[in-house]
Amino acid sequence: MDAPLWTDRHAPTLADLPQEDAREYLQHAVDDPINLVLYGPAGVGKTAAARALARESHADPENDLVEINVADFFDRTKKEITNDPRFASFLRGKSHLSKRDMINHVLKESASYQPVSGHYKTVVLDNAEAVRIDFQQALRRVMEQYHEATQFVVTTRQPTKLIPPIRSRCFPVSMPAASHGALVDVLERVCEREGVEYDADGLEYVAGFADGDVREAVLAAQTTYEGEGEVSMQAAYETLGDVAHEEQVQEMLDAAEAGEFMDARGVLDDLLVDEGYEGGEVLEVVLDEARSRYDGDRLATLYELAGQIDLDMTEGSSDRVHLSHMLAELGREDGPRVDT
Amino acid sequence: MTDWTEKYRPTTLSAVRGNDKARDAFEKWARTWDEHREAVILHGSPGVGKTSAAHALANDMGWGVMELNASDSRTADVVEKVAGEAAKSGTLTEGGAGRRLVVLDEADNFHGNADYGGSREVTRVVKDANQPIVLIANEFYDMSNGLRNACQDVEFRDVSKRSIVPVLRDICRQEGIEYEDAALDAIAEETSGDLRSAVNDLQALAEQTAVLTAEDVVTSERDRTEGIFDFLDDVIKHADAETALKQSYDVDETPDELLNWVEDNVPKDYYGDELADAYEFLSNADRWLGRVRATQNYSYWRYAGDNVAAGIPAARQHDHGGWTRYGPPSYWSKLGRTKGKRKQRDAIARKIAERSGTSIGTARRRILPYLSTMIHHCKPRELTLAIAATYEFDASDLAYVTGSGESTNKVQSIVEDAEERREQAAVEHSGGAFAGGRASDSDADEPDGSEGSDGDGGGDGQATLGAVASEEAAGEESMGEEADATAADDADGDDAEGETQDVDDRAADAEEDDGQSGLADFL
Repeated sequence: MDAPLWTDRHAPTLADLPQEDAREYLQHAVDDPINLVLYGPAGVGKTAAARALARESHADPENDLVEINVADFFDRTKKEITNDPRFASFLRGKSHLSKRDMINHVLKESASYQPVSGHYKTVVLDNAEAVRIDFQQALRRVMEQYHEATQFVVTTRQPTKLIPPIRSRCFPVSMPAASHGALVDVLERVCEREGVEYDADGLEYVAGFADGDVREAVLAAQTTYEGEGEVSMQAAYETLGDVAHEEQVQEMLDAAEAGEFMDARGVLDDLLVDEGYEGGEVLEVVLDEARSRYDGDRLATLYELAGQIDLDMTEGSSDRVHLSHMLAELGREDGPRVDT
Repeated sequence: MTDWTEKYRPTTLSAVRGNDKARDAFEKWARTWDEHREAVILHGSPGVGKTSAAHALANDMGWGVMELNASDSRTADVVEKVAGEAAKSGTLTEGGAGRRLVVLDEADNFHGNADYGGSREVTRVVKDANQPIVLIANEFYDMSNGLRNACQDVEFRDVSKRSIVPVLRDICRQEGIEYEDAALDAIAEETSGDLRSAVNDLQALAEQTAVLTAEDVVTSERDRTEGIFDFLDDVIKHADAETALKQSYDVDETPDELLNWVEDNVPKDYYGDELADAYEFLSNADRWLGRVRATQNYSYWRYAGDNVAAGIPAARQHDHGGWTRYGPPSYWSKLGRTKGKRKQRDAIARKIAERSGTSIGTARRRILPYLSTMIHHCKPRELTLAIAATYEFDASDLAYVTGSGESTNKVQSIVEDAEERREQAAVEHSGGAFAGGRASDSDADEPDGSEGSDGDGGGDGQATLGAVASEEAAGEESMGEEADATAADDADGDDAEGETQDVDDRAADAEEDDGQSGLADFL
């Protein structure tokens, strides 16, 4: 029974990483373990890099690599956390703890275990941008107490959210979005290994679609292959539109521009509720669509509007209000108006 | 101006109204305390006179009162200090000899603060105490079993209308308020058993009128809540900004609820530029709500409310006549409707997240959609099966991901096959674990064990892919060797267990087995 997804099956080794600097740093880190912060945008392979590092550093990576997804701690209720099989064994009978104490407990437990192989183990704190300040303070003590036998790898999309004491205890490794060329290389390697039919245009198209996101690129390539039996431009074009909810986004913008606001907002609600989009993601897909729909001043205005809406969502409490505001702006007679 | 509920709080137990039976039981508890030395729990709805009774009793008995208002700080320390100390020794002001009544208000909340060991601590203090303790609670059964068993209990029932009216009449006389009997009846009627709020209502009404009539009571009730639908109609269609703003104060909704109602309904009438203008105000309102949330400064609520109530009329450009079917916020009802579905979606995302090492959010938004497209309507079957087995999907999970019906043969048969495959894999996996153990045992003697070549194979860690690739008939040579080597190793293990299989089978097993343990390496 092997992993069905190419993203899991072809998890990169350190040598496979498309980011040259990161590749070099991490290869050094195999021999010379230090605490690390891996930072970069979504899907560039931060977690994959941490796993690759652990595989190459430990004889028994299954036991000496501990992954804790912090976002799943802080974004959820206590009940959800204690019922999560990943944490349940640590938290049995501890449901009275506060959330902060829970993660502290899980972390201390996992940091205090003796390494199974070799002289240290690796604890990965994934999505660390979700870690609240008070917990980061606790974390710095844990990092000091267990430094002898534990290497901490913190991955995050927003390194600025880490408090300085944590940052100063870690070596920062930048994992930028993969370049288009590097992405094509990754896709080619994966397709070769899978023995899948592909052509250069297909890989280019998929790489462009993924826009620096390695996970998305590989998923998109597999989706294309499973649907059409090959990774060609035509096949990718036909398959990927469905995934990106292109039609729904088009329908939403069409309705908004035609002044059919209620219809537009209906689609927006579908995206937010049924598809589970976050506000920022809706903006992203709208801008994707806008790039093929508008040009010149109109496109510039839309970008400006999106910027304002994005800020409003950050400040406000309801994404729906501000995204609806954007749709209403599209329905103005003379096009959207942006306060500057 | 003093609060009448305080001013007219009974000073002696005989003045406590409406709960004669409870009052007598409570008094008996106090008189006989020296014999039984147990604490007592007074429980009943808010405003029926529990706290009043406790204080009145202390007064009657000539006891001092030590009150621990439990809603603020109730860590074990505080409970120990205040209740424990007071109970065991005297206080400065009261001297050492006298009795002290220890009043623990909101005792049902000790349970809620179990985090701090509050409930256990109280139970201990209550048992050890040398002073009479009164615990006051709304919900008797919210208190821990241990605590309830350690105490006597007295239930205070809701105060009947018949008992409320004389209290109100008394107060009116003392305050010199003219009243109609019907007015007092109406107040008593409306407050349904809560004496305290009846007194509060009386005070509020008395401030407004010289003579209290039944009409005052009724109209004030109606004034208090402007219906949300009437408000929507006015704010969207007719009212000017000032009128709408004033009306909004009478609507019994918080600004965030108000925003939801208005935002959801205003597009039913407004359109074009007018709607966009309206949304500018609504967006402002929501930003203020965001600031409230960020700072916990609720005085900002007013700006949110102002933007909603005055902003909409300010944006109005057209005449809106007729009747519009306004409704409760559709977004929230949609959230409610889809709760089960979203919960399932998140559970599926969690299974994927575990495997891929992403957050649940990432799995939901960035992996699940691809998965759904890949195996839409369960095609291709082999991949669907592999996915169902890997992520341990049950029929309803699979139906959700593929969009096929849960009860269809297709889904059912895939789930069954996946189950079988998982069991098989589990057996093989444990076999592999044993084999691995032996291999590492023998490592000392044979440093050239195949285990080593497995770990370093190919230098790019793609050793595990060998199994996959060769399965898909695209195997490269080195990978083939890899598989052979492991097969040989595994064969030894199998022999040792005395199993007889033909060589091909073993090789195939080894391949799968290898894939399995390799997979584990990735996780």
